[in-house]
Amino acid sequence: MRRLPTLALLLTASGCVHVEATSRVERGPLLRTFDRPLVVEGGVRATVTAEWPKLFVALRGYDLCRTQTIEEYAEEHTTETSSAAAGPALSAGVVNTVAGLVLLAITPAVSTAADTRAIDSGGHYGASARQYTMGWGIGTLIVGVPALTVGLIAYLAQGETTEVKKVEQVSSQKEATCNERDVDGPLALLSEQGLAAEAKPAVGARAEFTNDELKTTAVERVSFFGRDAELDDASRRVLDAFTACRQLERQQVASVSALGTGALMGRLERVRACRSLRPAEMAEAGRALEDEVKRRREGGDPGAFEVGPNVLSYEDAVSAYAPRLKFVAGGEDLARLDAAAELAGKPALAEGIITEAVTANIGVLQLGGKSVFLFLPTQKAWGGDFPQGTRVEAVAVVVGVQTLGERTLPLLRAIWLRPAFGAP
Amino acid sequence: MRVGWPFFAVVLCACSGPAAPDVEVCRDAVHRLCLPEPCALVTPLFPVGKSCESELLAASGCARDDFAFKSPDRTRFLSCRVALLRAGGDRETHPSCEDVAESFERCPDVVRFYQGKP
Repeated sequence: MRRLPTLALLLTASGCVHVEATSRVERGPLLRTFDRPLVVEGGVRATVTAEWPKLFVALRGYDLCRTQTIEEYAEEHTTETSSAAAGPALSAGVVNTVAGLVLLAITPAVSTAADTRAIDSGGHYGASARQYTMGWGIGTLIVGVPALTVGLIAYLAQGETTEVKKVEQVSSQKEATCNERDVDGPLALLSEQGLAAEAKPAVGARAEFTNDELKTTAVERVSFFGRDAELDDASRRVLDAFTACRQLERQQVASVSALGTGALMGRLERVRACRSLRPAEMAEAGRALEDEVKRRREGGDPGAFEVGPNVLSYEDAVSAYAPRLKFVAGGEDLARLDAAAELAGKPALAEGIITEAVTANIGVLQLGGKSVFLFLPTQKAWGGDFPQGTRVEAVAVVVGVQTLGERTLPLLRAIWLRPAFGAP
Repeated sequence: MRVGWPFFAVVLCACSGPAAPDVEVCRDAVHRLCLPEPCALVTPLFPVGKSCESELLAASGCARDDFAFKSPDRTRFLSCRVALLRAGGDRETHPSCEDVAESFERCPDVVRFYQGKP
């Protein structure tokens, strides 16, 4: 209990001490570099195959094996503590404490005689010199000791501490699929319309669905335990083809000539997709549709041309269509125009001279020794007319072979057309 | 903790010494009243041409070294003396005549004491 006041004084005094701490971190040398292998949760990959009217889905689970290259550094965490009050408090404390001790020390040697020259209002003489000395001594000690305590605490709290830690930094990371394995569990075929079918194949077995089992026309996704399984491009194409075949089954038409041009083009697209699963059944239907499309093109129906991405400049067209064929005078690809039907749908760059206007939006483009029909969609605004004799360059899509009047030539649909360098 | 309280007591009492004897208290008051020039209220307390201080000390009995307060008692006398200290604690400081008047007005018994009247 006797130590309690001292402890309280110290605690109180330490509370008055304002110590500022500043920390800084310095990176040291590279200690080592090592690889850390990690295995993280991967996913499930679905492989879709089809043999009309059956659809097969095989599932394989995998993990992601990640290898991180770790660089280990030494890092110095330095904390500097300082107190602006330490100096003044210490000096004031020392001076007052010493003065107080000196005054108390000389007290016995000072006179105890009261000051009889004055009598106060209470009828007392003035204090003796010893009383004054002791009073001043105690007063200066009362000021000095706490100041000295605060000053000492602040002084001792000052300094610098350095802690060295090891820190790791991931410098590079490689990731690859690993631990491929058969999985089993609830599998579902889905589309925007909802659930198409469900199955729970055994480990290593394929799930099999027949055309009649599917509840929705389209099948777009495969889910496993409620999460989408990954599909490669081939599997997506199979799903698209299967969906196209199912749509064709449900949209029987009596005569293709009765179809609107939009419906006709859509049906032709589905027939082309379904052809990969049902080549024999789609061959005849495909021919009939293509003949009808050709007939409508000859009639000048712009809807009978397949529409690609919309572009706003020549550069946009090159970027969006990425043409690999180049039809220029003396070019290697020019000879391939002899079998234009095989190039149907392929984008190409063409550079030549417009030699003739056949219809309002079909002209003849001379490419060295070859001529082609060039279809110009009427809604396009390319910033100019292209009269006969104009040298042009075009991003175009090969449509096939077209007969107009007495001539049969390859037909290109222009995506973007502009005067070529050196045009008159 | 036992050491702490005496320290405080010493500090608190450091400004005053032991109690002065009654005779010294009385003589101090008379000395202050008679510092030249005495106030108008003091002049009637002693005969014209006589020394103020010696007359008042003699009349009040404070001239005797064995003097002790009876009536008024020491406490009463000290309370009436407070007004005379207002101008300053030094023995040679002349009290203001307003303070003298206030003291005389509040303490007619002390005035009679100075004149040697019971």
